[in-house]
Amino acid sequence: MPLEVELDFYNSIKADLLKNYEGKFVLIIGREQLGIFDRAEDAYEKGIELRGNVPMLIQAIEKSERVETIPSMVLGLINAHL
Amino acid sequence: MPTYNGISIQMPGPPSPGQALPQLSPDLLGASGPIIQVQIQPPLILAQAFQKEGTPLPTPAQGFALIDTGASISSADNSVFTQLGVSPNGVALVGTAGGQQRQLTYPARLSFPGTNLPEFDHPKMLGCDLGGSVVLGMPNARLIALIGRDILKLFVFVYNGTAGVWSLSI
Repeated sequence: MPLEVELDFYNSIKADLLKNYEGKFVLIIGREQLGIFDRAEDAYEKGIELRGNVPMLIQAIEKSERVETIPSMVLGLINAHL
Repeated sequence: MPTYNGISIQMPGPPSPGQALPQLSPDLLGASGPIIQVQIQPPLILAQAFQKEGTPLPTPAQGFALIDTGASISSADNSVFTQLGVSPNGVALVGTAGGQQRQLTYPARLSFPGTNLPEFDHPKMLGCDLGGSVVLGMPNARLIALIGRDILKLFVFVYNGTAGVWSLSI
């Protein structure tokens, strides 16, 4: 899956990020941390400015990752899949 | 306050002179859910980058969205992001029947043609497979997105099931 490298890198620096930046957003492309931002939108703008339209990881810096729920897909209520 | 009023109507039978007008249908709304026409484009900042580098802007994806109050995150069919040429900007952890799995997310700009609701950028929509779903009773009306609570938090959403009507205001 795209962004696996970025996710691995994020996990390797997560503990350090949590010390100072909990609740903010980190921008990672490849194995490079390109900035910390208050809003995901600002991180995206910086990513486009620096590297253009490439896959990038904008990750909320949180102790435990939020789990999203879409019951209509999980339960097969509509013809949709993850 | 810009407001869109959604109604579900059904003909009482084959149209004929002097026959009653179409009637509001709570049953149809209950079966199909609140559906709204939607247009999805690259977010503004990406569209500007495309223009700067002389890349033609992609044709917006057009279709219908189901307002899904059960979904914590909004999603769009993967083909939409392929058509728009938008790269992923993150991953989301999603609970499924088989456990949790990671899915790519994409930024997008949403508008609702035929309404006076304003268009807006949304930082994160889940890419999913809507499997060619169509709106109930409209075989050519392709469902391309689910509007979840992350977008609904921007709106006032009123669902009147007994009357077969709903509204979205911002």
